[in-house]
Amino acid sequence: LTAFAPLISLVVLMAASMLIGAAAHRAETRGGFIKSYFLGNRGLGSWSMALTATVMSGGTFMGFPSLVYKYGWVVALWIASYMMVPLCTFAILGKPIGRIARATGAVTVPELFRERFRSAALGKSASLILVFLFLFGLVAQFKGGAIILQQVIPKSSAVHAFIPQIGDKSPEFVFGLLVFFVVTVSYTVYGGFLAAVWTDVFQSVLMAVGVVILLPLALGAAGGLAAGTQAGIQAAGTSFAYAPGAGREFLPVTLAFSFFAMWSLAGLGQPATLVRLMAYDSTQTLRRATGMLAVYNTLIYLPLVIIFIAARAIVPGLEKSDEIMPVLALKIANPWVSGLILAAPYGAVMATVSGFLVQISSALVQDFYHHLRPNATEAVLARLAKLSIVSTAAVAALATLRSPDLLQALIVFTGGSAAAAFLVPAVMTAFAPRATSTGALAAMWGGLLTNLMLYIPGWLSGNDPGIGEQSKFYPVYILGVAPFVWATLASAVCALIGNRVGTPAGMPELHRASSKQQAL
Amino acid sequence: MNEIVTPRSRQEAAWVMLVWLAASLWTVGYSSQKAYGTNSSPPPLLIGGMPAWVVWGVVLPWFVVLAVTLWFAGGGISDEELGEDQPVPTEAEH
Repeated sequence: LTAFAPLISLVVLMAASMLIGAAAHRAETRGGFIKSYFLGNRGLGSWSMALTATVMSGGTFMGFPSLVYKYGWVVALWIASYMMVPLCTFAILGKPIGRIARATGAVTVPELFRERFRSAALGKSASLILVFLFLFGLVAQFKGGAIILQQVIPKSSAVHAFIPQIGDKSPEFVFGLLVFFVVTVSYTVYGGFLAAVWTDVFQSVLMAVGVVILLPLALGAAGGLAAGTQAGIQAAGTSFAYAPGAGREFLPVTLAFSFFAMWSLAGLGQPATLVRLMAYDSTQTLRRATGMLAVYNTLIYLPLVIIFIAARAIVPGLEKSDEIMPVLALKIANPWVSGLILAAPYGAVMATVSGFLVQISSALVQDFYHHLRPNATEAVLARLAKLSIVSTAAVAALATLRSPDLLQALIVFTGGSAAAAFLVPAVMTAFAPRATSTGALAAMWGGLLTNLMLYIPGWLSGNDPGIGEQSKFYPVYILGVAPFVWATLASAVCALIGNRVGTPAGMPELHRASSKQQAL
Repeated sequence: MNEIVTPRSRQEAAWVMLVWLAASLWTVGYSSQKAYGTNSSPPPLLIGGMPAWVVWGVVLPWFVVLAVTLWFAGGGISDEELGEDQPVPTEAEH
């Protein structure tokens, strides 16, 4: 039975996610369909805000450990700005966005921009960019989900009898994709935004439990952290303990600054973060979430660095560093514990997909259809929302069967592009009463196009710039600085120029509960 | 006055950006002096198994920022009314 422990863990996780979807459906019975299905009735509590408002995906538990194992201690500097994420995410835009969303009644991120600047073109641009970027992101996440399940399905299983090989995708991969599609779509369709958020909380707790279990096991197996550092130095030279990293200029100083800015500030421009800042219930929740996320990040990221430095002494010379997480877990933990640890990234991928699907659905149904047909009934909107989730997921799953290898690069590209497009407009929304819709529109497209211009030539040429993570595809690093920084600067310049055109829309008016009571 | 973004919100945002600037100067600035240009150097001094530059340049600022964040969470961020939720807008209103 222990041979099936990882598979059983994933099955238990999927069953739990379905139950969470059902619970979310029951919680959404109050309020109208749109506000409850797409925004959870603005009722998110501290745990939901703390553990889901910042971007965590399967990459946190798979890609990051691989970097630590491969490049050494410099990765601690690469990830260091996660110390600032709670403050930057919640204390800068939290209250203004929460208030503006309520004052305008906005339910989606495009709607927030549209209502704040009174511009239909701005809203439609935001919807278009969001759907375009999230579709790329979905394909990559579907692939991640299928790969994890593929790894735990026994090779001698009956899968081959029923599922064909499609192109270069094995029957196990196709089966994994099918199961991932059915489970994730089912609970998302049923539970909407709350299902996406609650499964995200669940996987975040699972991830923390995994780290807490792995830390003492790894230090014990390595014979201490110093042994891990020494093993890394012996294998890769003293550069393992210094910057810019072992075997490659992974993080020159210019990139160290770029990533400090990117990890801490890019989150402010992520639609997944912005929609949560529109959905929390009170400023007390915001404060508590700030503290909880600070403690959570400290418990996750610093121990992950320690665990995978120690891994150098436990699993020396692993060629495919991407596999270090499952290899280490299976080596030092019993099968049931390693099953739980492997379930964490699967849960993270499920939660990310679920969140993407709800946001794409809200853009298609609320931002396009509902605005074109304002008299549409709730029953029609509900059917369309669910249909759009199923059809979007089906398109992404089919694309996954034909997916090329550049998907990992696309994950980074889509995250950076979303931040480049939405960060400056979000700051203008909150803090610039004299900003115009032209300025916001220019900032949105200026940031996105600059990011595209720095990625596409790099992909086409395939030239390795010699810095950053080793990959099959590289962006153009002008002066050694990451594209996000240039794109954000370009977005800000476009905003300054665009703000000279048109009339400021002005801030919406706050409707105080207390003033309403006085009037009564 | 029904001001949507209060002076207090602006102040808090400005303080966070100051903390961000200090943390980035400390972390990237210190590490750029102590961790770079050391390819032919002997293995670094280890503190608790970590290179000393990681302890002083990453771990220490991390815990200082953690303390500042917990202070913000404990009351540094003021509680303010978020306002009444308005009806979902439609295109016809524009």
